[in-house]
Amino acid sequence: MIVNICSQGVSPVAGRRKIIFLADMESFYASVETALNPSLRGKPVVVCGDPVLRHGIVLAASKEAKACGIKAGQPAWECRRLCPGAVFVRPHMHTYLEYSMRITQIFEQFTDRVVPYSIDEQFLDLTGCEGLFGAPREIARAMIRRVGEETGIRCRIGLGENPLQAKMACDCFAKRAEDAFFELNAANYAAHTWPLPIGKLFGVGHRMERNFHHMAVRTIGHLAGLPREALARRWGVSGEILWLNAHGIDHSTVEPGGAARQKGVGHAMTLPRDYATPRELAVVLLELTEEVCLRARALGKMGGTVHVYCRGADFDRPSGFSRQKKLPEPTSVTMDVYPHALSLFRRHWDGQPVRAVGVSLTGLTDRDRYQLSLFNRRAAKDALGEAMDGIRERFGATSIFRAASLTPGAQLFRRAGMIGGHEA
Amino acid sequence: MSTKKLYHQFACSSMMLPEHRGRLERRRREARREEEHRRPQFDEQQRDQFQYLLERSLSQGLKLQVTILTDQGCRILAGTAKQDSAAGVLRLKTADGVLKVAAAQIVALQIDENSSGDGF
Repeated sequence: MIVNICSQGVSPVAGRRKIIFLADMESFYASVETALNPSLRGKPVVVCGDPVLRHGIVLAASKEAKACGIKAGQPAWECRRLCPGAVFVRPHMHTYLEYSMRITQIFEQFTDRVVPYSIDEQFLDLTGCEGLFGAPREIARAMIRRVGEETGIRCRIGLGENPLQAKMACDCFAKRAEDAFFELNAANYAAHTWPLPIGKLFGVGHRMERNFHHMAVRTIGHLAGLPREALARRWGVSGEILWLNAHGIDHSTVEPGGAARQKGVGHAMTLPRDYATPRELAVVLLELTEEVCLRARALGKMGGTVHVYCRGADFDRPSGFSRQKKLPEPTSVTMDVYPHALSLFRRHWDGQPVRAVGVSLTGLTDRDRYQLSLFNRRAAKDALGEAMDGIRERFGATSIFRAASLTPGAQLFRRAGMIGGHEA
Repeated sequence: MSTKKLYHQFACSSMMLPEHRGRLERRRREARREEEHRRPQFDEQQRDQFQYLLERSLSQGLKLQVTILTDQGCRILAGTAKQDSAAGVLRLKTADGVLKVAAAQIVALQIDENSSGDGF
């Protein structure tokens, strides 16, 4: 692939440099809790799931808690050891979503090109808005002030000529900057990022970091110095992307509505206890398949491939699998997908207790295009699925369900009151 | 898939909760619907232009294409016009019969240059 490095970050309008922001909310969940309960201000606040349901890990920690060494993902008991005075708060996912939507609305008063990246991070394209709101730094300052005044949350903003530069500017510099703002561009990208450890590069996780260390690649600059072809040969397109990232090159754009063009839908859950019987696991798989198919139908899509994920309960001897299977024909009918998900699970499960399972559908295509079959009563199945979805939408997720959800091990009723696997 | 990742690395790595995605999509739909139902504000020049087209249609017997905004969104009607200025109503003889269109409903007017109406 030929990449025109010179064209990076340039808007098609009169060769103008793009102005891309990544806005990140500081300790989002903990900040929302503090905004709602000002008595928590200045205290080490830790938002933590329910340990009884094995969700007792840190979801967010305030800066005071982080100062004690508490990090997201740590178990609750470890936090208590590190910071005995920490205030533990249970998550309120619905409220966090409300706040995230409010913040999106604030940003939309500056530009209509706002794309949430996660619940607490949003990309904004402000190219061409300088005439209305001033220089990028002034716009960022105004946004930070508005978000702070209207939600009580501290926002940090990274500026770049493409989403990657904005993300790197935010994660590596703006979070530590006094004014919560930092700019990276084609001219200063190398000077600022190349001395950073390789693990700081967007897209480099723990495993990739280890791989790079084995290759004596310790900084982003070391990676940038490697031939692009060598990385492409070893890791394919992922290696190529990392090389581009090391050079600050990114072809992404900030396109609102992109969320609707997703390539797959999936659900995974950590079980409230270890499941060891095939019967219980089959029920959970059915419920997950139903959730996944419901979401695909809501998008007007059907999937061509089903994936099943399973993680064993024994931390000392990690086990589990992630396998996929192409479906005979694309579908979003639960009972067409489920037999394949179940057969994948049965084939690859080692019989050991299971801690987490997941199902996803990928290869999404439009639901109105399918191969007609004389013997498969597809229209009737689709109509049944739609009728069930309509009832659920109107009366709630538990208004109509399969009888299997009344058997031991079923999770439908517990999950109905949750968002992202945590209390709504 | 590879190309998608190369060109949309953030779309591929986005960690959006389904509930968040759903709410954004719902809000986008509502905004689009609101926009579709927003009555445009016409300036004097635009109103004069409508009047001119209407008079031309009446004098030359040309068919008029009228876009009206209803609760269900925009609808296009075509036919020969007759105005009732006192009532603020445009009467349109269409294939489905004579329709009364309130002037306030009209958002666009266009003359079908290639057709001649069959009179009112």
